[in-house]
Amino acid sequence: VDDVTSGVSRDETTAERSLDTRGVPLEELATDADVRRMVTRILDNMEEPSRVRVASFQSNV
Amino acid sequence: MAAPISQYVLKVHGWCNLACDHCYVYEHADQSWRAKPRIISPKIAAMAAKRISEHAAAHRLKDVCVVLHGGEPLLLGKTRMRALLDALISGVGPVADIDLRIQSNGILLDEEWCDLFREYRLRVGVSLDGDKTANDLHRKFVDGRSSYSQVVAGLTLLRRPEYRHTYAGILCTIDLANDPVTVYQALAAQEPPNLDLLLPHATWEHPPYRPIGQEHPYADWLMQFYWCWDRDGRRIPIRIFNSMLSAARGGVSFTEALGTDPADLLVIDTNGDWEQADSMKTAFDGAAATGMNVFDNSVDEVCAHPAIAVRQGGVEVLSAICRACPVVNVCGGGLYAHRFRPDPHTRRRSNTGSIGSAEFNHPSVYCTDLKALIIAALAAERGRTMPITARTPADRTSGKRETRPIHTLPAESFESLTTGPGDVASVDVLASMRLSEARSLVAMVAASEAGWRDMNLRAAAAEGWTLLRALSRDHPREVDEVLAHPYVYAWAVRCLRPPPHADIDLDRAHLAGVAAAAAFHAGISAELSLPIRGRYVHLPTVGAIVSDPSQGGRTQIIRIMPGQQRPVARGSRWRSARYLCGPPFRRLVVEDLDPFRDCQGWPASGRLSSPEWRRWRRDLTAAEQRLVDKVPGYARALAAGLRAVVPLRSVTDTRRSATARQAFGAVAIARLDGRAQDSELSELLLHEFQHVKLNVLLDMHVLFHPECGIRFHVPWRADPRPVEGVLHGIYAFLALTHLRRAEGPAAHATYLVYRSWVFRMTDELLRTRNVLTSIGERFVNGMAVAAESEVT
Repeated sequence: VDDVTSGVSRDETTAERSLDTRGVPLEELATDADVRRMVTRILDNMEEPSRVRVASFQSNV
Repeated sequence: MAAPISQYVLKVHGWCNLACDHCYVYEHADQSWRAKPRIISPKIAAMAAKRISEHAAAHRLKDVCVVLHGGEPLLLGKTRMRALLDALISGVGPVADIDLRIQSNGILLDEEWCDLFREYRLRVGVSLDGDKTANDLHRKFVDGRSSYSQVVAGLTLLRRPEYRHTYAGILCTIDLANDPVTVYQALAAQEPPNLDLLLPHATWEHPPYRPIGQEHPYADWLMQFYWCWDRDGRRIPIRIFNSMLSAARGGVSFTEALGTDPADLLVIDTNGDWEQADSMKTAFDGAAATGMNVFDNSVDEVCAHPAIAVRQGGVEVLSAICRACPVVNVCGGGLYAHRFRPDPHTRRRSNTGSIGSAEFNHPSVYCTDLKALIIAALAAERGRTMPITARTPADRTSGKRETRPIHTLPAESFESLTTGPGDVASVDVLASMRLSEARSLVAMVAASEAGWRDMNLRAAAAEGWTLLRALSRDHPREVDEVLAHPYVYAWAVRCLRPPPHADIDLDRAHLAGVAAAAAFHAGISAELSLPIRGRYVHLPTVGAIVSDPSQGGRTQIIRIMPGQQRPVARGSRWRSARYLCGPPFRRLVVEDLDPFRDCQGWPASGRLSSPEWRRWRRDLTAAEQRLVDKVPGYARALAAGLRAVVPLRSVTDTRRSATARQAFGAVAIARLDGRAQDSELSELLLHEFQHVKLNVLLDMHVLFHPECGIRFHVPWRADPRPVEGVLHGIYAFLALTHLRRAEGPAAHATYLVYRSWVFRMTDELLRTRNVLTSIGERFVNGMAVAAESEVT
């Protein structure tokens, strides 16, 4: 079917790719292609259906 | 009994505004489109929704996916599309969650369409075959004009921050005439969240083009693409490759073109006919038909059709050649339509389609390519080493390696976290990673120039960005103090992936508040316009100004002076952020002001009254002291990483707490008035902070196979939980096991219960195949061992 939308897979290596941006001037980050890619990955990962967005707890007492 | 169907392709418009010469709908064997209505009628749409809904209810499906399709579905027009979506949502929504998708050629995409997608939470996939040269080979208008620039304009729109979450991905049909490297670069430049590559539809009767002397040219083409993808860090999920790798591990395939999973898809045409997958149209005229329609036949009846049933039989129903093949579990015989070899003695009835006859009992016409591709890709996987630094395409061209460091979790920190509390150094690593991400997210919010409507708010954001950039050079510590605030991260995520109905300009202008807060901490003079949200002008981590309504407008000028206790603004009052600063906390804010704090599922309370604030301060201090006394290791980790507690609205006789992934260092808790708060609060703090740590750990390491769809029954909740939910629960109850153990005989019974839960679920995860990765097994094993141990 012409649908690219079902089944999203996180590659194991993506978890290894969080750039350390501490100490880097913010304007440099705003134009950095690697940083842009990392941000896209973070946002996509945030919407990844196999992940839990909010862990919540409730019990009656 | 046939497996239930959870995916439906709904043909909403039968015609197309392009005339692509490789289209299976119009250019291949099946010509049934000529006799069908152009537009789906409201009556058919409503009946389709009813059939989907009754099937979901009968089979207790929690989710169904409906892909709107054509022809070109956007030709339906916005008014009809709204009516159709309303019918689907009202028909299916009460029974199951409906995941709405649309597959478009992208020509008609505009802001109005994208706003409609946002409103209905509909995600759009776009067809594009590569760069202009590649795309122009087939995807043209009827007069031969190129469609490329219009499609790319549509994709540019989808990449805008306010629409990005509606962008589902790109679908590319490969052509050997195109260079795979160029195609990869062109597609990657469109930043799709997902990508799939389709082999051109072909059968044994009409085999694909193969250059003379090349045994498996499609495999060779795809492997070149694979290496481009791999060298580029695999930053885009590519369905054909991920399906191969998943199926090779024994997991599911994400495409019917690979794997042996039962077919889980039906098509409803514009005339209400139930059909098989569209790709069947390449086999012969009428091949996709079932002879059934939504008015007369239920989904269960369609599933019993021999042509559907035969595709749910796994390996057993494949040809003898396929069954003997070593990669059959990965390729699954290839796409069903590609197996078609006509038999001159077979009589077909065009209105009921194929009935799974011997004509499909063959290997795929792409058999040699699929086999070569799978063998090459799996060999590459086995030989692959994890990259240790990030590289850019430019670096690869020049042969240089990027030197920007990457956050890694030392092995001893990982082991420390598996035992429950983690040490202070481990928590600091997690916090550092989140700070790096927050800095990057904020920079990208500032860089997203497109789509402003309110120029005053835009000016406020621009002014704030100028100040923040300067401060990041001269006062980096103060800037990081603000950027590390949990709800700055949450704010930036919201700006870049705005929810429906968000006031995007107002949200983005909060950048000025972030800058003002950093200036306040740095103790410098500054005067700037800040956005007014409700009654407040917010400076995260500092407080909020109650704005003067008589001034009007959406911004207010505030002034920061060195040495002053608060920012000043004309005719306004001030609300300070409320901190617990002394030991055992490093610095903890009871966050009852930040406008982005309400993201934990339960509603956050409003500003606390003074007596309420005093009670929170007293009880949190007592709760933390209790943790220091009973489980000091956990208390040290908590003090190192907990930055904010958000009071939730109280609910009588119900304990509530929550943690959001986009708010590292924050927990949200509902206070139970009139009860012993130190005991309640210490338990909830401990419980939630486990989630805080695990959220980051799960981003740093892949602990479970994401394609694993198994849900587990857990002892602490009634509803079956996905793998990540189970991990979160175990980790939280591991901490409570340790707390109860430390509380001695009075808590012994609860200790035994919690410990048994940890044992039971760690054992179940470890025993179930294809759930945990190797590092996930280490983590779960570590928790099982830790449940036996005391912690200090």
